Amino acid sequence: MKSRIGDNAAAVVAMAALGAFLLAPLAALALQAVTSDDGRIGLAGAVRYLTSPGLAHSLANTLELAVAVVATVIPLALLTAFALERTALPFKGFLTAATGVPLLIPSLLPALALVYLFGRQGLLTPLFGGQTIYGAQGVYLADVIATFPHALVIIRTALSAADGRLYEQAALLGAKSWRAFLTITLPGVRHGLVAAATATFSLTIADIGAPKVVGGNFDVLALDIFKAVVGRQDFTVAAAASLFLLTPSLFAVAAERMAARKRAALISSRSTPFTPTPNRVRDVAVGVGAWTIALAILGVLGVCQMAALVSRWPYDLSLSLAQYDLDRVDGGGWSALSNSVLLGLTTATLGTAFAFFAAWASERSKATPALRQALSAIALAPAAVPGLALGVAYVLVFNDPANPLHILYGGFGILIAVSVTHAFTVAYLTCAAALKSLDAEFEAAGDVLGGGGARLVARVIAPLCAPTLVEVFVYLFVAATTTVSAVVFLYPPDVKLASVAILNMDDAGDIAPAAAMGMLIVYVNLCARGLGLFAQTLLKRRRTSSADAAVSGDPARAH
Amino acid sequence: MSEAASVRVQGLSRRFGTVTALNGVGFTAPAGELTCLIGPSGCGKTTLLRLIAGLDAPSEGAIEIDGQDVTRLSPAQRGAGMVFQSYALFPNMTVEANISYGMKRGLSAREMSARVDQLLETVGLPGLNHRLPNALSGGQQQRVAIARALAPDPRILLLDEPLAALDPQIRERLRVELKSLQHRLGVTTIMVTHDQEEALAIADRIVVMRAGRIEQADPPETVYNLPASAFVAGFVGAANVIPATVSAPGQIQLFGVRSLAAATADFAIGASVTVCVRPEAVRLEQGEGRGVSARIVARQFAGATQKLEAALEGVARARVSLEVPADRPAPPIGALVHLDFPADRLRLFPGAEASAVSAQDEVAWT
Repeated sequence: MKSRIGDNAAAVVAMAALGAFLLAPLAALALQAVTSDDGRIGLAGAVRYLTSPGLAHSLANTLELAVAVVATVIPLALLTAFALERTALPFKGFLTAATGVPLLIPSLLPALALVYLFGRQGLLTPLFGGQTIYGAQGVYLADVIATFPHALVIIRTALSAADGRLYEQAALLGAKSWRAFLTITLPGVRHGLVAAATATFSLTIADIGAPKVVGGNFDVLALDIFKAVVGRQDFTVAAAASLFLLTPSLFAVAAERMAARKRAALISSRSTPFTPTPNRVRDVAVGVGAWTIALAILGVLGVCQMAALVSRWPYDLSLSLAQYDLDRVDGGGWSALSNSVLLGLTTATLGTAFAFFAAWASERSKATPALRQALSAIALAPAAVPGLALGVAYVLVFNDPANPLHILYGGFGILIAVSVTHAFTVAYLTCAAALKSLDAEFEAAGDVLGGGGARLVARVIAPLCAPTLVEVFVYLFVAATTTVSAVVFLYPPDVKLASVAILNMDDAGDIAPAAAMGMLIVYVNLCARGLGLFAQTLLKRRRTSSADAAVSGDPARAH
Repeated sequence: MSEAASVRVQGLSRRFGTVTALNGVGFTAPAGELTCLIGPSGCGKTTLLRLIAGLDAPSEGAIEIDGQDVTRLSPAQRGAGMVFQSYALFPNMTVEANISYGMKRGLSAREMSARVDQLLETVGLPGLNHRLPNALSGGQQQRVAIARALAPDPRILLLDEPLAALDPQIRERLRVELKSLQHRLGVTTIMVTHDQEEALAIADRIVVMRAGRIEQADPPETVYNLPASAFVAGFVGAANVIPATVSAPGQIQLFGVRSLAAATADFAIGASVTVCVRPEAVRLEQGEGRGVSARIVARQFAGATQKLEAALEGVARARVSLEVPADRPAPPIGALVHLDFPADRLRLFPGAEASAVSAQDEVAWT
């Protein structure tokens, strides 16, 4: 049938785009790892890297760091998520906002705060007998703060789906609340915990900001790649190290998807919503924990903001806007911020459109099932590729004049492409979930009533997904303005970016302007988030405001 | 409304990989009538409806509407309106926008609006133009879905379990309204349902399907009184389905032991047959009498009738369901009774339907 051909073409186009911007670069990465310096295929370069004395060291450091961060973040995130979803604590809105803020900040910002608190001239350093933060402990702390909100979002989602009947049944059977927690709550969020651990692990091993700012002599794989590319232009070593980064991420994502597939539907249509009942002991214990975390996060931000507002930390603490004279220092100045905003807007616009298009093709089009399955499998791949590895791969592929997409290289286009690809999976999955939740018979109804698939998408499917599209837009905007790792090898000399500027300013010793720039990104993203929430509220209100309230009569609904 | 059109389906098959969902199906839905497709889940009734609508293409066979071959036409070209099980009302659009979605292009806004008013009047929901679907009850949503299906002025109307999403009490009221609306409009209607009682109540014709084939296509009275197979007897209405053998001309042996009079002209002596008899056809003789002796093992009060279950004496696992008017005193559990099976109410089918006996136990008491 005619419509099927068009829908197949749509699925193929989506796959081709993912092929050009993800699979081809990854293939080039793998190829580069086995190319020696004279351009011949061979393991010489890889062997050189594998046998270098630094590697075993970096590898062990990276793993140790990632395991320590996961082991810290998951319990903390579980505690906070439990406080937000399963207790009757007051001020949950404030807690939610405070613990979620790190989602909006560049990953370097916590590291900068640590410098101000525990660095050579840190505010709290004297308390530790002059012991500074630089080294493993600094990277660990910075990554814990940076990855915590990502784990929190995932675990909260898992905890929010609770079947109240199970808890009532447990109470009737005489189970105490700790027993209900161990036998119902934990097994129910097991999958969420695995997913959160996976995400935390991948983010940690790929982070370049914390090791760069507070790492001292603590070498990790990400730093090896950075030094190989920026310092020595040694792409064979960079590619080989990237594969080391990529492999555990790939396994983690694959394992997580398998676990997700096995998971039975825990919430049935007959479930009753869970309403937390006050429990003094539990609420106080959990509340103290959650408030401590929230205040610690706000403290970190506060320190950065203060550092950016005083004349000269820690010698002259009088207030001053001198640090905001960003054009005074190297790094790009105010134009870097406007470039970042522009990158955020273009990435969000193109990325939202593409993610929705791909999700539509795989979830709702009439394309052949095999094509749709292939597309949804490929769409998961970007989540398994750390930003640094993607950046190296992009340099390899798009720097090649033989590539027809070479025109993107050295311009704004490559930055948009890498930002969209880097954040694609979450955007895609969010769109796919929204599309999946729509009535399966809409397309059939549209076909019978006439007008074709495009009219249905324009008038029904897309409007119904509008709140989700706003959410995806904000997510992509924030991702593009905060990422360092994906763009650090790709930004052209004349297009400085704010997130990279933080890195460069810190490198040059201009820590206070770096903190000022970091906080500016935070405020831009807070605005974006606020505008997004406002737009979502407007969209949802428009949909539910009918001429009258629900009429009397039978409450039976189709769905 | 367009002139009523008949629908003719010939040799229609649909295979999904190795699964055959429809296997050479043919029937005619006469113009202006309400035809019900019924059968157990997985029998292919929804597949058949979607093929008629054009939402899916058949592997073989042809579909004609009003004598025109529409097998290759797109859904919108066929002139079929359809109401979906979930109604599939577009939740972001008002009732008016939903109904106008499928109207012909080129109508002025005023013409469209007038047509919407007229359709809402027809389905009994005047004035609800600017409501959103979520602000309507289930029954109202169903009627908006019907109005939307009627808006393009279709030649036929297809309904996919239109009452399944409603509460039982409303369902019974709405099926009467649905029938009277269909009768008033005179639009040829094909409706899928899994509820045999619903089909008996409102259909002009019933098409009974099983495993991708049609077992019987007849008016409801014929399907009930003269079922074409033991399966139809068991699926439409309650029936006792009992294995038997023809022992002599005019004689059968029930469960291999009890002799009964029956019309055996179509069968050879010694042939295995399946006997179907409706519970209300089994006559109860208290105390000594003719017929088969049995003991009452279960009683259910069902308002106008008493449903009884009797175990035949001396035959293992031989149960018979029967129904007696509630105003007559029913024997208590444990009472010994005699059951009379009137020869003219017994339907004989060739072969021993082994599976039908166990399936019957469930069907008879629902």
